[in-house]
Amino acid sequence: MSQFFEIHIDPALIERARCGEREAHQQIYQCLAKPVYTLIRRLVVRPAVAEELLQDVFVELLRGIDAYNGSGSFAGWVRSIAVTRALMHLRSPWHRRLLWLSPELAAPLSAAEVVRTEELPQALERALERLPPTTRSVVWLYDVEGYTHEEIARLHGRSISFSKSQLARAHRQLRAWLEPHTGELACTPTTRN
Amino acid sequence: MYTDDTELSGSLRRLPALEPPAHGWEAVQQALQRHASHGPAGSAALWRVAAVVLLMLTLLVLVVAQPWSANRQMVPLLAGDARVEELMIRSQQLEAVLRELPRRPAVEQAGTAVAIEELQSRIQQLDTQLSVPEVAGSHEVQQLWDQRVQLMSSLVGVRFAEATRHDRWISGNGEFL
Repeated sequence: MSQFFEIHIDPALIERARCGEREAHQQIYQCLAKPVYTLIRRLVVRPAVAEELLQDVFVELLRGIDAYNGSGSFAGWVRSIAVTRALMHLRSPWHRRLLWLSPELAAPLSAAEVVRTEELPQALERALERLPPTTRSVVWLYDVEGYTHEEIARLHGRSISFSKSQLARAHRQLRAWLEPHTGELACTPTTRN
Repeated sequence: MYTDDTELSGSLRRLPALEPPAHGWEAVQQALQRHASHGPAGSAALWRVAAVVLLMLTLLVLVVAQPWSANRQMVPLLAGDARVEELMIRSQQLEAVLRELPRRPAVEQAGTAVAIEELQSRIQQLDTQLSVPEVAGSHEVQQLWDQRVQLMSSLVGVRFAEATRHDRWISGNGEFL
């Protein structure tokens, strides 16, 4: 389940951060930077972009901490800011331009990259990165972060069946890529979105 | 290897967490300081006036320079890609202006909020359309970018009006933003 659910931030710390205490800001950063960065990296892939978005998320949350009303988990609130930021980036036309600059991310896995069982986690990471951005976000949000199809559909401004079909296609594709290699790869390039 | 979806989902959940950059906190701190120094709490009214003047000048330059406005029919269309390139640059400039505007006020007029939401949602829809590879015909791409620039331009206008109104209200009530 999502790492965010394992993080509890003391309400007193949040209160201190609200008062502008720098040490409290830093403690919040230390508690949440890793899950936020992981989430963003899994969605946007590129480390440089992820670092920039990480910074944006923390600036937004520390400047707007008054907007947190205390009704739900603070970490969950931070996660929603991070997801929104990352998806905004993926929707941005600049993101598509960046894809052209990294053709390796638009290509399917090569035979050399797939797969020996002992290297499975790395292969899975690589395969995930090769999924089209929107599809990858659906997979990560559903499988790891525990979002429902309804929530994902709302985030993408699409239908529930869009989310379901993206997930099913992605699972099929990942399984095909990660099949033990027997001669020719059965994978074909997927449509970028 | 993965016989069912549950197994695959489990493997995804077990992927290791990734380490954030070593100097991530310093970068956040610097960004926070930059924002703070942009805020009026320091040099108050003078800064606000300077910011408003700067924004007005920027908007003026953007509006005067835009070839798709009043004399749209008279501007010869550039070759498809160059025109799209030009619209993308314009769009980037407008986004830069938008980023420089103060944060949205916590309390605002309902009409303004609805207008902003609507514009943002339409821009988002266009972005989705632009990110679909099937939208390949250069004329259609150009039309979408043209619409995006117009919507961005409207959004900057509405946000600017909102910021100016809020700034006046704050000044009148003797508070800091």
